[in-house]
Amino acid sequence: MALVLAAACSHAPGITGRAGRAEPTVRDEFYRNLAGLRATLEAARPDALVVVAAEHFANFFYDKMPSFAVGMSDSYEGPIEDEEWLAIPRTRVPGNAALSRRLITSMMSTWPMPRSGSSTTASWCRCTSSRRASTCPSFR
Amino acid sequence: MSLYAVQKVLYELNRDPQLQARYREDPASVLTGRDLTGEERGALLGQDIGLLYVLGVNGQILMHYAAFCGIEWNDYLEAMRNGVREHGPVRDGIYAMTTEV
Repeated sequence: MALVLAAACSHAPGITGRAGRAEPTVRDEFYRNLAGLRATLEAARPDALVVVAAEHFANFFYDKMPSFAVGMSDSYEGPIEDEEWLAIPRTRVPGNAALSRRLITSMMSTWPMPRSGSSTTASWCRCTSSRRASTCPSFR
Repeated sequence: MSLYAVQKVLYELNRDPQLQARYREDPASVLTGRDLTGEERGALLGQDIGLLYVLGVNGQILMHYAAFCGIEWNDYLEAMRNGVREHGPVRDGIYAMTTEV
């Protein structure tokens, strides 16, 4: 599988939730660039998207806060935030659990694992109540 | 661990529609058995954003709770400012104020 595009984007909730408060010229330029990113993404015709995003207490609390987590589900539901506040209706998007498993397996076998004493602290956690991720490796 | 318990309630509320429904119906029942001080309990029952901010609740948790309470963004920001005016500097958490305001 080839990497056809890598891109980054701002993710502040005001982009959708409070767009009317931004300075119009700055806002319009931002949305123009966002539209350009969409066009570039569509032109790249990816088979799958690997989205890296912040967590913000959507799935994890202070008692179990992994450095990163990888979703492994056939679908993801979101946003977790108040729909009206974010101005994004809650929806379900397709996932690809098999691809996730391949990525996770590769990461687990090739990346240096953080260790505590003589035993690794990497563990698996199943996030059954999660809206965004179903199963994830947790590195602490 | 008290701030931890406050944030845990809010975290659960933010992500659980069933708990939100129970909170709307009978907020005290959601707090039963939690390790909370009287002040914390009062702030949670009164939806006191300013005091919750001063107690040290993380903004990534507090802003979603404010949205759940139907508090408009500018009012949310002002509630935090008023909280500091009324209750003094943020006492704990990552926003703890260690200098005069």
